[in-house]
Formats: sequence, structure tokens, C-alpha cells
Amino acid sequence: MTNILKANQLTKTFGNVKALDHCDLEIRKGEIFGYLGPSGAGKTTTIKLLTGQLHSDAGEVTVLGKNPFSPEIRQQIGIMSDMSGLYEKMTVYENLDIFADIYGVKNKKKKIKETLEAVDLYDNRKKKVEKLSRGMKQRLVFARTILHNPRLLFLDEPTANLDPATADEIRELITKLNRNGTTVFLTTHNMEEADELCHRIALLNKGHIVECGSPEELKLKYSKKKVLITTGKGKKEISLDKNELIDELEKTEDLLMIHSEEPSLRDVFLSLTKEENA
Amino acid sequence: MNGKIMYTLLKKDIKSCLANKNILVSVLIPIFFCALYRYLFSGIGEGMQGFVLNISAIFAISIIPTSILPIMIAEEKEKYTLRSLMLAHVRGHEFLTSKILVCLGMTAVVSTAVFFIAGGDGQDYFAYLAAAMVSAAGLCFLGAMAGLLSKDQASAGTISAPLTLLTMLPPLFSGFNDVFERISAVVPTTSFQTIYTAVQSGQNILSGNSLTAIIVCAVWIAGGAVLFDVFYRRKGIDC
Repeated sequence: MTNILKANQLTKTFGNVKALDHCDLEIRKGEIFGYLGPSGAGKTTTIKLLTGQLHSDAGEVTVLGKNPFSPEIRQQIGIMSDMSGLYEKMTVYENLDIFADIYGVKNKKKKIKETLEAVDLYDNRKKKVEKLSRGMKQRLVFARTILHNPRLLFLDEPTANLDPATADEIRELITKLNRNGTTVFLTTHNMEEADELCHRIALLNKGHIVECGSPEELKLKYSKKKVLITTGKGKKEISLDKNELIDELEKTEDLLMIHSEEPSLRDVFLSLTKEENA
Repeated sequence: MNGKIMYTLLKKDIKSCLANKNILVSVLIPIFFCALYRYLFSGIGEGMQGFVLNISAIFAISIIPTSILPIMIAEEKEKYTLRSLMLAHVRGHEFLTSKILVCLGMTAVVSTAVFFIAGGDGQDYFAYLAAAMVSAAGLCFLGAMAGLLSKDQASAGTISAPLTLLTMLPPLFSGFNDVFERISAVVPTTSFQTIYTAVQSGQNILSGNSLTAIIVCAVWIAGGAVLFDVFYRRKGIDC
């Protein structure tokens, strides 16, 4: 599979703090790549380095085969962060109109209409942004990010501080875009969201990537390989060894439930960071 | 510089200015004071008409580049719309050129209003306007740097207040003593006063004091552009 983004030994220091320490990243074309970590881990710094907002102290980045600072890149990527401002005194339509002109979007009116319909804001197109709810503003920012059909999207915590319904809507939009071929680089500290959306994830802690792989791979890798059986007498953990499991099940008379004991991504992350910090 | 982006930015900036009450009030202040002074000093003597025009024009030329321009820039920083523009492919100099052009447009409108309210001689209007524009252009880069330094509109107001006074007062007090006269000679607002006085008295503006005044403005424009570029490269427009 082609790599759409590659970063080698990316390093960034702010004063005495190493925000990113020799990180390697590869994003494949057509995937949703999750970049997870707690607040202060270095997620936003990484996005800034990958999108030409910051210069790294060491390491190389290529985005779509080019330097992230090259002007040609801007037309092909979309960036959404919590600091993506809107013109509050202008209408929904006017906000998109400005950026449609800046990006040189062809068939501007049709494209704006389609984009607003995709984020369910078309009926509110004449409303001033200051009158919109928080969720609607976030959808408008998302609309602006995808207006010019970018090949690669950088989404920095796109569902942070949103109510569950709006967060679900944004996730659905991300999935739909990805199905249409857009590659997505997504940062989040919401492990469940990453598990639901991402083809592959990287776990970041204190500027290091501690693990990388698909959610399923990581859960299997860090699984305790045990099964929890519930009987009338209570619960018991049994090893996933086939013979042991069969023996135990044969002995059990009043079996009520069997649960696999695979860890969540949160469990994986916590155990990895505990090891690192120890 | 991309023409289409510039046109889009200009439309946006004009709309934003008209929607910003702080800016609208600041723009009206020189016009209000001109009308007030004209009323207060009417009937005192013909010389007062020139004084009213002079003080009001200097007020307009000072306040718009050093107070309104920083507010325009700081507003975009405060609301993160500047970041949104930079993440699209709007370059720093495109963003600033649009703001400066809008600023100069406002200066032209206000200076024109002030000229006719104060009862200026129509024959001198174009020379007056050219002198006002050259003078204001020199101050725009100062205002742009103040905008870059400000985190938000409130701090822009704090930084710009002394700047406005520093540009407004020298021409008004230049006659008080030699030292003050020499200092005020390097301020663009004094240049405006010198050039306009030369025009009113029928002198050749490309000689003597008025030529020096034109050179002062040119130095402010060129020097301001260079300094701004250095400052922007170091700090970045979104600092």
C-alpha cells in the first residue's frame, strides 16, 4: 500500500521539554490513522510538524511526496483543529464562500451546497455563525475543512467537548469521507472513538510512540489470553488454552455466561504507559 | 500575490470592518471632532479654519493606521480566523496587504470628510489627499507590528494608544522649541503638515522642506516593510 505521509525521527523541543522524541510515522493511502495519547503527549505538536505549521528540530517529513511547507500541499490537505476560527458576524454560507474562493473551488455554489447538505447545515446557511450552537459550529468547521476535496485530512480532536449526538455525526462524516477515498490522520484522547474509527493507531506518551498497529492487533498482542466464565457459583478466569477450557467447561454444570477477556485500547495504553513510567 | 485571494480578502475585510462597532466608532471620532471644532471656532477668524482642518486631518491620519489597523489584526488573532487563513494558503503579506489597503481606504474617506467639513479649498483637495495617503502609508507598518504583538483587541487598544499619541502630538507641538521641531520632522504626520502647507502656499512640493517630508514618508514605508518582514519571519504572524 502506498504511503501518503512519512515522518522519520521527528523531534521537537520547546525549551527544556522534549515534545516529540525521534518519532517515526507512516500513513497509508486510504486509511484512517489514529494518533492517541493523553493531553500534553505531543499530538498537536505532531500535527503542526506534519502540516508545515512548525519546523522540527530534527527528522524529515514528506506529505504527498512533498515538503509540508510547500504551497502546493495546502490545496491537497485539510486541517481542522480546536483553534479553527470562524467569522462570527458572517453567515454560514459567507464563511464557506470565502474559503471556496481562497482554495479556488470550481462550481463554487454547487460545491458549497453539497458540502452544507453533507453536514446538515444547508437550512442554516443564512444564519450568522454567532447564532449557531457549538455542535453546528464544529460541523461548519468540518465543512470548511473538506470543501476543497482534500486528499489528506488532519483532524485534531474533532469531537472534543461535543455532545454525544454531534460527536456521532462527525464520526459518521469521517467514515463516509474515508469510504470515498480520503485519508485521515486523526488525533484523539478518546480510545473508544479510535477503536471504532481507525484502521491503525499509534499510541503516544511523553513524546514517544510506544506502540503502533491496528486496534485488533494491539488488543490481541496485549490480551491476557483468558476467558471469564460465569456460573451459578460465581465467576472464574480460565486460560484460553483449548484443552484447559474444554476441561473446565465439561466440569461446569450451571454455565451462565462466557466472556472473552480482551483488553480495550484504554487498558493497552494504560499498561504500556505504566511500564514506561516505571 | 494571488489576485483572486487578494480580492476575497479585501471583500472580507471591508465586511468585517463594517460589522465591528469598535472600528466604526474609531473612524467617526475624527469626523466628530472636526465638526465640533468647526462649530466651536466658527466666527473666530479665517485662520481657525486651517487649524481645524490641520488638527482633524492629523487626527485621522494617526488614529486609523495606529489604532484601527492593530485592532483589525488582533481581532483575527483573537478569534483564530488568522490561523484558519494561514492553514488555507493565504500568505502573511497577502493578509497584511489587504488590511493595509482597507485601512488606507478608510483614511481616504475620513480625510475627505474632514476636508470638506472643515471647509478646505477644493483646489487643494487632491494634493491634500495624496499627502494624507503617503503619510498614513508610512504609519501602517507601525500599526501592523502593533497588531502582530497584540494577543487580542483589548491589548491592541493598550499598545496602540501611546502610538496614536506619539504620531499625533509632534506636528501639533513642533513650533514650541527647536528640539521638538527636529524630532517631529521625522514623524509622517508632520510630513503631511509640511506638504499640505507647501501646497496651500503654492510652493513646489518637490523642493525644500516638503521634499524632505516626502523622503521621510518614503523611508517610513520602506523601512517599515523591511522591519515588518524581519519581525514576521522571526515571530510568525500567528504569535
